[in-house]
Amino acid sequence: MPWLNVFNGSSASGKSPSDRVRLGIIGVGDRGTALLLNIKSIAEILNVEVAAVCDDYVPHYQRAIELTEGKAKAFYDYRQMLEMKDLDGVVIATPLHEHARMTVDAFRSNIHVFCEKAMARTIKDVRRMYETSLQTKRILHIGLQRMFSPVYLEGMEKIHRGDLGQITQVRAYWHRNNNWRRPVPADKPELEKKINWRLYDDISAGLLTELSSHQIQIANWALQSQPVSVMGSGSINFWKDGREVYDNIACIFSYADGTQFLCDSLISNRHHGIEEKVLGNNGMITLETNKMYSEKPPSPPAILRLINDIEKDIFETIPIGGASWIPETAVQYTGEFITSRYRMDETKLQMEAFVKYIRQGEAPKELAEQGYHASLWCLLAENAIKSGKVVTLPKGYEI
Amino acid sequence: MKDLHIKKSVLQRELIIWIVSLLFAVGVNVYVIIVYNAPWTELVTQIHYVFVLSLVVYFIIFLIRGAGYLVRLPFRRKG
Repeated sequence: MPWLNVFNGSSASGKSPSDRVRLGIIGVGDRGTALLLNIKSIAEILNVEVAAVCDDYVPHYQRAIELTEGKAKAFYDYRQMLEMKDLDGVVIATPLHEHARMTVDAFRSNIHVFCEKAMARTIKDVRRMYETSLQTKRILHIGLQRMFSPVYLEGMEKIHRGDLGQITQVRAYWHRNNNWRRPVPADKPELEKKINWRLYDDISAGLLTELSSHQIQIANWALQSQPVSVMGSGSINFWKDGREVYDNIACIFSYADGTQFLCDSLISNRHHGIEEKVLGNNGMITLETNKMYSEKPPSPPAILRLINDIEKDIFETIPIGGASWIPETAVQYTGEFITSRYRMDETKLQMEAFVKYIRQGEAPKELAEQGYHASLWCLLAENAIKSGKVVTLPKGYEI
Repeated sequence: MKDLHIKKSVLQRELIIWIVSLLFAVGVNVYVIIVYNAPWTELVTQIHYVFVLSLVVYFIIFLIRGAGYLVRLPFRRKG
């Protein structure tokens, strides 16, 4: 995968390996904290430091200072942070609607950007972020961490090598069973929107931008293409608590070769959990569970087949009447593992990559493109759901 | 506790019976490899199943021998 060349150790232009990479973190909520801790864990090995932190929410601002032992400069306003002269990159982990202006401002301050997915709240902002990255020649790394997961990388290698035959369908789901709410201090109800921003339409597209964006990227990656159209449906059918975003969605993305990507998400039942399945005429890969299922599973050893046959002859009943149709239930076959290297932390790997891209002074163009297409199509899926129409890529958004 | 003494001849006889059982199990494995058109590497890779099968065969022979002993028991002279 092109974006992994960074791990080969080649260093083009940019900072020399002996120079310390200095990062700023904008937004130190749950995700921002996780990213900060990841950077701290690679600080010594990769010679990187969290030089600045920023959050306009006081508890997060204070937590950021504690996490950096007071060594990082702390800001309430990201624009002041961007004025720091020796900042190489920023990590943006704020609510979705703030991504675009922060990213563009960082680019204009000559700073590389790692921005959490999805890219932005509107397709115009997605485009603006992407174009500004190209104009300013700054790195735009979107936090779609599965691109750095050994399971996904080896799985994609198998898919692209043709181990599954022709890919005929991708399906993905992400099911949870919780209200997706975070507690708001009782004495400060005005913070509701700031804390539960994922539930409000002007800030987030809900399940689409916060969960499905990962899976849209995976489908595009597997099919080495982007959709040509999307249709979908969604509603609030369970969590009727004043939220503005859907609590269940289902979409079908169509690709130029006729392949469909079926994607759904809900937060009222967690039985199915999360999965991405890539189906071909020779087999299927389930990426979240690191499994590959051949359509022609390998036979068990001959000696076991003998035992099975004897057992079958003894215990199997002979039908003498009844239904002439047997239900085509799922194949009972446990499959094989895609890789044994599944214990590596993909979020940490992507932070390592970001630091190395900064040191190289550039990132593979495919990295930003993957983020662009995933972000764009989850917003187009939202349009499809809201309009009830099949939505295609608007003119001017091709890259 | 009383010491248990097993005669050398008894030990040899049981060992021979088990070796025969093992050879039989290997023979079964060869047969099924041919019948199911399986790779010959299964002669080695499935040796654990062959070993278990040999013990099962040995146990079946043990039961048959036990039954024979019980049948013959009333006709034995006391002495």
